[in-house]
Amino acid sequence: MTAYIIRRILWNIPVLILVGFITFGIAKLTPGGPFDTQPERRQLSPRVEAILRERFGMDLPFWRQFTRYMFFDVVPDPRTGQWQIQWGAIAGNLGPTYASRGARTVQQELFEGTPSRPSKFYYSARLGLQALAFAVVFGIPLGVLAALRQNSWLDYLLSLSSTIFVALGTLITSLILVIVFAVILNWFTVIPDWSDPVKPWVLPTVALGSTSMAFIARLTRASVLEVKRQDYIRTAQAKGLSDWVIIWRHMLKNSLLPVVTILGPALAGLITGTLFVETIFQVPGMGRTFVDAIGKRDYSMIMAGSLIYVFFLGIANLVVDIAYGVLDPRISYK
Amino acid sequence: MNLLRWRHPFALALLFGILLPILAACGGGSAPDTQPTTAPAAQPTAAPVVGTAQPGVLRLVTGSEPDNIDPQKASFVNEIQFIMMAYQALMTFDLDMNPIPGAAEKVDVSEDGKVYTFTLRRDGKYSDGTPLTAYNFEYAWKRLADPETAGEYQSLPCGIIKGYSEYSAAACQGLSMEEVMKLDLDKLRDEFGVKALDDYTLQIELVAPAPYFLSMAALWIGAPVREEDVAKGDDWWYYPENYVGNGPFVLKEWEHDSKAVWEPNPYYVGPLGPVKLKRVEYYMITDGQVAFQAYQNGEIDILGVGAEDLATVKSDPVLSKQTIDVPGSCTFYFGFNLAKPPFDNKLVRQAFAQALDREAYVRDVFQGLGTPTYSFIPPGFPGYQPDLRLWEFNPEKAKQTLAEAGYPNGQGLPEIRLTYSGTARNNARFEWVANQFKQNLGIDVILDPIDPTAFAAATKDNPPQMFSLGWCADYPDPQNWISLFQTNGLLSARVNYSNPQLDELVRQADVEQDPVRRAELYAQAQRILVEDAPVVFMLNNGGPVLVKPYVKGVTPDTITPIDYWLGFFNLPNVDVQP
Repeated sequence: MTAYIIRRILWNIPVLILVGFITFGIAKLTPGGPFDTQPERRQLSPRVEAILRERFGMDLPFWRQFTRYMFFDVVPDPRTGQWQIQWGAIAGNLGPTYASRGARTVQQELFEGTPSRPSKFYYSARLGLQALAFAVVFGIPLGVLAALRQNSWLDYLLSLSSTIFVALGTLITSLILVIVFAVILNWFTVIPDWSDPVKPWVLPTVALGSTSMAFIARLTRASVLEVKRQDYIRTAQAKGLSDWVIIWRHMLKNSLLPVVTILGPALAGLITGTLFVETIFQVPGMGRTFVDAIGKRDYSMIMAGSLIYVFFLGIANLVVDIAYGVLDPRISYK
Repeated sequence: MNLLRWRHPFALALLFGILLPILAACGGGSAPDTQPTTAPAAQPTAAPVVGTAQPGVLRLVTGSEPDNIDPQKASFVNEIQFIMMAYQALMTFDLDMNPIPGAAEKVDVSEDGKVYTFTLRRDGKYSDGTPLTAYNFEYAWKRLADPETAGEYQSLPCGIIKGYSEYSAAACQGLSMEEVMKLDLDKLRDEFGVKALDDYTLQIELVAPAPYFLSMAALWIGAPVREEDVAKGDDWWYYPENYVGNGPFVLKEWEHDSKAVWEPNPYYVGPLGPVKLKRVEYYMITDGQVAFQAYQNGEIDILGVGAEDLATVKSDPVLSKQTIDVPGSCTFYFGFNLAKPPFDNKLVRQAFAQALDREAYVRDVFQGLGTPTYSFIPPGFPGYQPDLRLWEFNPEKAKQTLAEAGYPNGQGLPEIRLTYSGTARNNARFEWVANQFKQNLGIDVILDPIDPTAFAAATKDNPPQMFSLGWCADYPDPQNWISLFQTNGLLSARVNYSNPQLDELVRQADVEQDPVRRAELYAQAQRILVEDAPVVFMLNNGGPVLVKPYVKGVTPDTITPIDYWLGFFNLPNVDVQP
């Protein structure tokens, strides 16, 4: 098992390099650069732009820029002229943010908090995990409930509502939540107060988790219905076991395997959904930063965005695979 | 086994709890509740904390988070907003946009117009109580010029301050940094024309007389950052405790990407005080719809009206009374690449200029957000020429001019592409423009939308045949506008425009000390620019801004187009009294 986990983690390295190469290539091939903002407004002097491009090594050939970003480069110190090694993403240096004119690095921007504020990573990670927890905690019971009450009004209502959630998507759900709960009911503020540990998290968590919750509920329902017809359930019923014991001990565990399977993709869905949710609910997380970075052609931030997401997706899929083994002893890893 | 009889009251309650809001939101019955007229009466007690304005607290939206608020490096509007809260330059502006002493008490100009001597206020201090001296200004201006600073506005004083172009050799002369590093930078720094004569006297020597220099001295680029703060690292400005200025406010708290809280600087002296406000809160809200909801919810006090909300605001009995019309500081135009046919032909450009109905453009396409314009400098700014309307909408004349150009009814014209920043809103706008050319000149213009950032790049290296651009004021002086169209100027380079006559007029105007004569020279230059029509001026920005009735001192008479936020140059009179 340990060997398997290590092997899987190591496999992430070539994947990350490949994804990095593709992202870097696309970013560089796309016209425009970090100093081409606001086309209808003030324009940067071409000479100043040339200085900035030189400063950030953007005048170098593509391969050199990529290897500098990903691995390392040997560069002279502008003041002393001495050569020194500048490590890249492989050593945790995700590069300067062009938006801040290089005054801050990407890793500072994403992982460094201030005394009054946790980091952007914290906000995104907490939101993603809360949304996943919300989706699982509510989705599974609702799915079970619908399956147990198959073809009842409750089942139909659940099917309808999950269809609505999926159809609305994260973006529309978010706006509806703001209008209903913040503007009409005034239960929440439109502008969140992040010093409150609970309140500002509620709406974004629900908005982000609702689509996954609907998926999980539908999948759980189908899975429970499948298991319900199995012989061993009938045997358990014949033995006179109580409903609770049958559901919790025999049914649920076996029904959950397909649900666990979609947790990896669900996490991917949460990640992409984060972009909208963070914008609408003013969550100071990574999602907004990455979206902004694309418009600003903040190359190193765009790179960091894809590398970080791919890294965590790899981890999430690994966790899902391990969870299979826990849930189903027939699955073994070599 | 009766699994189907299995019930759980909690699960049912939960289900309803999740579904009800969705059903409520989807139901048509909830729509009337969104009307602002019914909302205030709905829950006066249910939500006591939501949207509660407090006396002396002004809440504003600044769009996205400022990326860099280092005065010598910043260039964007939201960045400058922050800088001018914390710092006060040598000069500032009055409500007529005239430069007046800011951190300086008075300024003396030598007879030849080349030496400016600023006498600083004796009681000038930073927000931590330490004294502000002329040496702080000397440091800041030298830092601006330092090649290593490489600020985005480093090129602005090129050729104006003595020794600046030599010291900022990369930004002003186009030298590479490698070449710059070989220069004797210490010597160049010493020869730079900004010197503190004593604690309270700063002398700035210019290369030639530049009457607009006082306006430049009011900009953020010369804000007196302290050496000890800058020494804390490249991102010294990121932490409020380092951001110590001499401006009217102190940055107390900066929750990045979310909120910045400012309080009055107790040591502030200057024309922007004493400040009545107790606190200013900036919110970084990028989504226009969210900001609009926050305003309606009473969580924001001032908000610019976006085009998508304009109809809602106009038709709403409450919101429509909370708007004031604000003039903008930008001019938007279509540029022709004079190096590409048929726009190398002046008559073709003039015909195109005559074929555009700017009044309808502003009314129908921009829903009245802004005003039509026929020249470069916008209304309210020195140098504005309301009578300079050479190419008013006249389809008949346009056709005639096109025929004179050798293209009767557009016959023989090469393919014409109109390139623009391809957003959903722009697509509709430029469809309208293409339709104008079709209707009024009989020409099929091909629309060429490209990604906004890619568009900005495309206008530089090999500018498209025809495209849209804009310019916003840095400082209120005709020089800031007209000089951009000198040969190889920042904007003329984009359209390959060059006219020696205009160059000469601008050259004379830039150094002319008689204000009347100077204004005349710029006016003549602007006339040549409009006459040559390398670009067609279309629209000045501006439009309604929502201001809560309890915000005092923010009226059309007390704001200027260059305010950092509404009422900034009228700070002593701005207050919030809910």
